[in-house]
Amino acid sequence: MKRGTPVLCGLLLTAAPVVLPAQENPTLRRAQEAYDELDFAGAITYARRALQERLSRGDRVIAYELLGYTYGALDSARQAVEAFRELIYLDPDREPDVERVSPRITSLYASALGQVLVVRRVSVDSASFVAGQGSVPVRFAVSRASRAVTRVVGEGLDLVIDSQLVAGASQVNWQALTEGGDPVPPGIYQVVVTAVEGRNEFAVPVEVTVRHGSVDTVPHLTSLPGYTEQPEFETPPRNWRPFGIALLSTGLAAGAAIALEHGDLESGERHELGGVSAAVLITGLVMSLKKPDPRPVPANILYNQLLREQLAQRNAEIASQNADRRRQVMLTIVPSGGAGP
Amino acid sequence: MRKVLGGLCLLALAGSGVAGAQTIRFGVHGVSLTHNEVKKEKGADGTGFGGVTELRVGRLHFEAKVYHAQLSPWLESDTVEFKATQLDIRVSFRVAPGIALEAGGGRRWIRPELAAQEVGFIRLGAVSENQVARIASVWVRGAYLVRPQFGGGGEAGLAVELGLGAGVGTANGRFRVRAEYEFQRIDRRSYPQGLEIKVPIQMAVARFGVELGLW
Repeated sequence: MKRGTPVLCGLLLTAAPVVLPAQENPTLRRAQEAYDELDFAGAITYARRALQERLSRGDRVIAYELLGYTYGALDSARQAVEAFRELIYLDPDREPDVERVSPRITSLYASALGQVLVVRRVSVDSASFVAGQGSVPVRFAVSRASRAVTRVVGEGLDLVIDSQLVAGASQVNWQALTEGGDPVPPGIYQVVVTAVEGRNEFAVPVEVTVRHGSVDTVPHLTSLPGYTEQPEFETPPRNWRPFGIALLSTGLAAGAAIALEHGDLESGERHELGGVSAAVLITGLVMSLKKPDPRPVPANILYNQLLREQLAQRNAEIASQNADRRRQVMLTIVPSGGAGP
Repeated sequence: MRKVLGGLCLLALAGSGVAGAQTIRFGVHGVSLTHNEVKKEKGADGTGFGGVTELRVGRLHFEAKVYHAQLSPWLESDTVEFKATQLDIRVSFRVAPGIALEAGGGRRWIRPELAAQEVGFIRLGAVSENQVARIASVWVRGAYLVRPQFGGGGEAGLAVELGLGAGVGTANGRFRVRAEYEFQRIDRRSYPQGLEIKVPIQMAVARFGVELGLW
């Protein structure tokens, strides 16, 4: 620690991370304790010593992060950047918490990030889609402008699905199809994003599981949405037309018959005429009093016919679609592993 | 009589052989008959039975009816009862909704002969049939009788007939009841020894019966 800058150090310390994940290595633990007690020289010594021991990857990440923070606190920018570069190579997605560390350390980290070529924040969304009709997005970011090659490896396949010049964040859509256009077989795959810049390259794989399923068929329609069949028959209101016709017919026939009777043959007894006239009138009266017969409604019949034709056509289309769907494969892609270099 | 029955059988066979027929009906009727001739006191009435064969094909309607009745004179002096048998054939063609033109013929036999006049005629007329409900219809008909021929000779001036009827049946047309009235007036004139004598004939028939439809 530079003694001439106690105020600055105090400011930096108040902003530095106080709590780091627990370490398994004793030397690294002592380095952390020294850092917590503001013994930066001790923290550097123990962290360097720990790095020479057999450390787990997580402990190495913590050691370099501790060095980066400590050198940052001591205003040793070059060494801080070096420590952060090692940290970024080990864990590209690990970043200082901007809410908890000082802007200086954040800027040192950014400076280190600009000096290395890494692929960061690689992720594959979970997705389900019909093979050939959808894709799953693969998102990533590169630390420097470079060519990003995205490959899928596994189940006997090694397919390059995309290769493009990228700066910053990018996205590739994977259709999960083979070169022949068939859906990839079910299994576990590695989606590998490799950033290439000259001789430098950095690859990050993400493990995904591909599952096959059947495509849901569409149920047939029993009615068209928004349309309802109309009644094809309607019962007209009761009316006196039948009785009127019977009365008119009877009056006409009886009047004519009486008028046409020969004057010499008039007997005055008209049993036949009376009997049948009464029968006709009763028929008309009963037909008027009884509930009228339902009558067909031509417009509604035509409407319903068109509706049924439309329904049949729609169901035929659905049947055709379902036949296609039964031949299709529903692909479900789920990320199953973490990212890592 | 044999000719009449033979004719009916032929009609029935002809009707049953028409594959595209819309309706073929056969029916039996009870008949009430009043027959007048010469003057109003010289009348007779009685009852009998009859039958009908009906065929409808599109706008064409064919009908053959027959009845046989026993008549009793009104006057006690005319003690001779007689039997009347009449065959009527009608063919009508619908020219407009509810209106049809009708043509046909008729023949009435009297036994014993000369108890009343036997008559044969051709008819030309029209019929108006109204379907007052899906199961019921009412009809009115009128016809002019062309050149009636009489057993006792003579000729006719005015010769007309009128009809009124109603039928009610099941919706499928299998069964129907019918009530029908027919009135006939023939102003017959005879010329015995060159002298014109007016001998008008008037007849009224009421039929009530049941019919069975085959198609």
